Amino acid sequence: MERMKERIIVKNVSKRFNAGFKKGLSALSRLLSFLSGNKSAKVIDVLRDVSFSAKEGEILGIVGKNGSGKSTLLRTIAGIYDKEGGIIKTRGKLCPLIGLGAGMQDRLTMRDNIYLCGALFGITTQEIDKKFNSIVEFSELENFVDTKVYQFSSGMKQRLAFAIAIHSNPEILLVDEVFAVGDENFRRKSSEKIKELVKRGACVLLVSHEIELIEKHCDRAILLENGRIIKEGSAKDIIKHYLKLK
Amino acid sequence: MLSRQIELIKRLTISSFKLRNEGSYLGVLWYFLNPLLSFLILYFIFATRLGAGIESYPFYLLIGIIQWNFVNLAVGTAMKDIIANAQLIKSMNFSRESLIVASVFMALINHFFELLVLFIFLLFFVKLSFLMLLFPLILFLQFLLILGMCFAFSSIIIYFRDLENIWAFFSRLWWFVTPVFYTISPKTPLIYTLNLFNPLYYIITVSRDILIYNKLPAISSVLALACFSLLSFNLGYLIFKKLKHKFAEMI
Repeated sequence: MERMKERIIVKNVSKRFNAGFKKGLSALSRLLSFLSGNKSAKVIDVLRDVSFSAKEGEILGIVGKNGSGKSTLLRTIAGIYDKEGGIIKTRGKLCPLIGLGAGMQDRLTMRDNIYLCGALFGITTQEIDKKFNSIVEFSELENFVDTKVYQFSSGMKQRLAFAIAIHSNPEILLVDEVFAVGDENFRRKSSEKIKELVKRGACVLLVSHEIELIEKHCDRAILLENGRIIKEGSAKDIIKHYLKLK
Repeated sequence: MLSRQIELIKRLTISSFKLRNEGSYLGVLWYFLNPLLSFLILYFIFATRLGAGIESYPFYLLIGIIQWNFVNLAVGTAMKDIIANAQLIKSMNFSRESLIVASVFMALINHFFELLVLFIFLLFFVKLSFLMLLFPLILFLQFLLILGMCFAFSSIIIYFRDLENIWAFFSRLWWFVTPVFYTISPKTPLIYTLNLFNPLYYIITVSRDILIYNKLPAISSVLALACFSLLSFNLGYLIFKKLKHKFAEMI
């Protein structure tokens, strides 16, 4: 019975990057490095044998130093990266909040952007029609609906992106350092909104360097180091461990 | 799932269409002006030279330009789609194909505007015939051909950025090899043989046959075009499908 409630199951997942050739390298420099015998087909194991699960109504914190594999883990779960091995099972509508506002077009109006980003999040046009006012209201940008987004401040853009994402009825939220955007007021509102979703059975994976944020929102957390989960447990314990790492 | 994808393609197409007109005073009018202006230049240069012996040369030329524009615009745009949307691809897992398909649709809308210009002129100067009903078939094959090229190029360029420079050169070569503003015959063997392997040659020739000369196109030409189109689409999509899983890591 307990198993049914799981939203994310990650089992023995590994991910490696080929770091041999830098991206965007020209043929000539490739040839040179090849001829110099320095083939350096270096691979980096970003995730090694990672296993964990997260349940309905849970906010799971993921902490670790830079380059420990946190973002890669989120991207692998979101299906943005292919995994090398292991199993990832997710149940429910998945919504990655990784690079907020990535799909936004600066030269289009806010209205057009809501429909465009909505479609990217998998919201149908009819649904957006219905939720349009609610999105605008949530982002607190009522006066700018027909303004082009390049005139927005970065905070306004993030608010808009967040409002659209949250209206895609997510059941699994993958949050990478964007839990709280905008001013204090909006921060409070957005974390309340996320908590409301969690109460209704959503599950959140929260990646952050802000210890206070993890402490405040998560009960449980995992600690990543060099692509491995080195500790899993209550958020308080994990944070203690994490601070010792430094 | 499929309906969501169609929805996304529609949305991306509308956006790129709007972005193309954004901030321009003449807006959609450019869609008519572009082919007409290049037509005028080429017409004044070539009408009495290369075009002298060609029947209905103005239409001959206009069809060539319009068909070429479709290929050039679509491939030029779609090729950079994945690179241009790097940030988006790294942060969301939507169907990557949608980006490419949307670019080709954007070029198709542009193509429709140009065809509208053509058909208005045809209405005045050429007798309309039932043969013109074959044109949608050509359009469909052309669409497949272009889509395949776009799939292939947009994914290969991730691994091989030089493709952009190569295409810049190759597209110019292609423009000159294709009989857009001149005509070819077996008497000029080199260029004639080259064009037997040029799908655009078949597209343009068949379009001219059915639209201006009221002539049943050679079945062999249509078949050759169909082969090129199917090959391009299948191969292009295969390459894309194989490479798309690595996009997010490579950009």
